[in-house]
Amino acid sequence: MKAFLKAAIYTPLFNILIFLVWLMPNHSLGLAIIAITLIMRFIFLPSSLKQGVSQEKLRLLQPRLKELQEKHKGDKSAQSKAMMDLYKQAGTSPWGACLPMIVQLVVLILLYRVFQIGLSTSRFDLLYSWMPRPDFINTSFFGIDLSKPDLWVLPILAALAQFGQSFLALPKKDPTQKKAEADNPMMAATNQMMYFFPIITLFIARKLPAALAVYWVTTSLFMILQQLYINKVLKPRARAHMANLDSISPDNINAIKTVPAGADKMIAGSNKIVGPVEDNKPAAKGVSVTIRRKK
Amino acid sequence: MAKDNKRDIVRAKQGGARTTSRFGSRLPRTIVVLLIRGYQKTLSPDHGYFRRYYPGGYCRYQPTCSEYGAASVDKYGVVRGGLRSIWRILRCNPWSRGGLDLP
Repeated sequence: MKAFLKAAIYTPLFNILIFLVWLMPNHSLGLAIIAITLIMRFIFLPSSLKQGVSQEKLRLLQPRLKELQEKHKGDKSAQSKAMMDLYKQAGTSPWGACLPMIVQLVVLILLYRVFQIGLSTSRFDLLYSWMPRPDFINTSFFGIDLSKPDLWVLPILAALAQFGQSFLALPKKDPTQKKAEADNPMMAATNQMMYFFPIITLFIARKLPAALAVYWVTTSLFMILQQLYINKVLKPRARAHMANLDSISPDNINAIKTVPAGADKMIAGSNKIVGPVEDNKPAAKGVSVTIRRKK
Repeated sequence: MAKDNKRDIVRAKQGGARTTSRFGSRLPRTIVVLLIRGYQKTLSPDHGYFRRYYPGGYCRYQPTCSEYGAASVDKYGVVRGGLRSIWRILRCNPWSRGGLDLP
């Protein structure tokens, strides 16, 4: 069993790591770890972005979902079918996926095992025969030895990045929800987790070899950037899309995608629409509505 | 144990799968289910402390992967239930359709 796991999972990933070490200037292990992290993150980037946006879309869909649940109470399959139709109408696939989490965990465990077994050129018996071998592996990364635990710089960076990422990923709360959360003790615990988890990260990072802290910092910084992009760019787009939800049906959803409503009112050369647009709520008297739409 | 055997016979007649343990003990299943519950209460993005980051739920399928795992292990035993759970986790990726997937 152990041999199977080793052959199927450990060896390929180890090969990828050593290949990246060979690629990187000065055979630097730190850069190779950063590279493998970024590769993994880019593979899962589309689904992460979709999932970050779906958070917002679901928040806006919540009242409709509730009424669907009431309508099909007790019949689970009809309920889920109706919900799937609603999701399709809204153009969102509502959930994340379990696999990216598992893959990250596996890579983390791999890194841990690599340092447990010991990282030196004599361990290259695991490499495939066609793999180029680096002459040495440079485990020093900006003055930090990656095979030993780093006590201060990397753990603190990891904890800060973790906190930043949790903070940015928080869904916006409606005022009613805020009150409900203050009352519910369980939700208060999840609130505290935002502050608590970075401290756990700090202590764990101090114990483990610094390579894992490098991995953690890279992944957290990437997710911070990802979350900023979601918050500033994708979420407002989603909100605009959801505002038109009632006018979208399976027949005209393709039309909506290509020609934004009110396109004929667009000022030539820009994406500004001036004046009241039919599909939006009528503006108050005397107000001219200026809407910028993506062409 | 006699009751379980009867259930197995009936299931076999209906083309179902064997769900009793070869060794007659449900202890391994209970331990694994307890571990899964512990994960659900803490780390799970669907049921645990990180739940608030995903107000619409996290897992692609309904029931969630951890719930599927617990129910699978409870029903089919550690080895078979475990393998089914691993297959389910592999299926629960960004490129699958999601939806209803009962244990």
